[in-house]
Amino acid sequence: MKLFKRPTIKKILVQAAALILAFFIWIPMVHLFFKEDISNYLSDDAISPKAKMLAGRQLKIWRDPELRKIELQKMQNRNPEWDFMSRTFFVLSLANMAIREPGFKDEACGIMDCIIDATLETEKRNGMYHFLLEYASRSGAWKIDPPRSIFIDGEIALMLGARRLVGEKPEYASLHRQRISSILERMGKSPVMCSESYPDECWIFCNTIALASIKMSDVLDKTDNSEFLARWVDTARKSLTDRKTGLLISTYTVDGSPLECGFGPEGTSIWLACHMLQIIDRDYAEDQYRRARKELSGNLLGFGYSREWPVSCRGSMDIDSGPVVPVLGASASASGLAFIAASAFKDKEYFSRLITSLNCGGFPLKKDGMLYYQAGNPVGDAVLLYSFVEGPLWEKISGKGTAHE
Amino acid sequence: MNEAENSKDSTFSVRRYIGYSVFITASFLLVHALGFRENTSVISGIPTGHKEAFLGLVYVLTYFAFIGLVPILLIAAAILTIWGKLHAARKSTSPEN
Repeated sequence: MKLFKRPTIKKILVQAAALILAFFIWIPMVHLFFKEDISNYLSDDAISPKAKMLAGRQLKIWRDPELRKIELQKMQNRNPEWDFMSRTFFVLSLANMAIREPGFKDEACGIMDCIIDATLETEKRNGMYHFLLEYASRSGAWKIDPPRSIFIDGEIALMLGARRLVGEKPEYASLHRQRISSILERMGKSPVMCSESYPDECWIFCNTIALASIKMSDVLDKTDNSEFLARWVDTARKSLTDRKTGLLISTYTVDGSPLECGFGPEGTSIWLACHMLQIIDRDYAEDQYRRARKELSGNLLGFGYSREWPVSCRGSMDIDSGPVVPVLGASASASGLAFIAASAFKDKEYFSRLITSLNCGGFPLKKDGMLYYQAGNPVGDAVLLYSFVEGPLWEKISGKGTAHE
Repeated sequence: MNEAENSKDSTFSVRRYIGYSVFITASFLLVHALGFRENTSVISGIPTGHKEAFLGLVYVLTYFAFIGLVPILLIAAAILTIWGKLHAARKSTSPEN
């Protein structure tokens, strides 16, 4: 019996050893097959080849009224916030693309106008609730009267500002100023200088977008809200910062009390907030980026990702975080927004690792000269496109900055 | 087990590993050629029909098997082949023979 058993165990051990050895040889090498030169994605002065391909699909939608109607309806059915945010990020992308390639400016302005007009018309016809999740209309009272969402006002103001920075349009100038005036008034009514996105629910994501739109208005209209912006940063340091990580928290009431759905820092908020704060207070933004990088960025065998929450401050999954990978805490939504921050802060190492993950798990699909990421969604494509082309618009704002700088 | 049996076992494992690799690769190439990749949006939670969700999941599974398992099986097959040859060479040069 012994003579029969020993060779069998030996055979199993040899095969198991071969498989284990093969595993340790292959797994650390996998990322090399998905790593790509980031110059395909980022370019200092032009529009990178991948950005052009990724823009193709979005341009097609906005050039073709029938296709646009179908696609917007699809997105609205899936998630009204996605419908709205994909417009914002695409307008920001077009503004950057127009500055990068002046030959594209007229067409970019035409499409930006089309997106902005369609958005304003929808808002006028259906009200702000059209772009908000269903719970906005049944989750209690708005604290600041009259009810308005800074998610909507901030992003519309940002779109108007971006368009005006590429080429002034008088019709938009008055609309932009009205939005900014309303934003400033509402933010000023809160002890933490933040306005609601949903009833008694303020998001750092939306409020930092609003700050960026105020800054754009300062540059365009020669106003000076630098004292307001500096005061906002001081308030955020004191009242909206997680003590353990030093990062801005995600969600809170109008009086600054953290809310259950985002009581700590979140990848889906902080990466974009850092980028928006770059034109408000560069040092503060860089400090937030460094902290976010330390707390949220991950690297698994050459594949980069972002956690949704720091290890010390775990939250629970929701529609924003999407599915979170157990143990790693990686979130596709947070990783998507991490592209924006990595590109904005010129963190080529992290950006390159994120691209490696995108090439492996994003299921890129090239069709008719256009690029799609099948594992993403329309907002994901717009966010990625923005991360590939961002830079010139923020430089324009910083270069023309007011006394605050 | 004698030397011939040992060598036969090793060869059998190598063939089995290569067989698995060929099967996974062929499956992946087939679902890729059939365009199942276009249904992978299911993994981001975008609502799709049951059929599209099924095709997308089939693609995702064969894709990760292709990039994760096939190279491991092939490397393991190569290791077993080398090990088998070294073992056979050592046996043939052993003073007992």
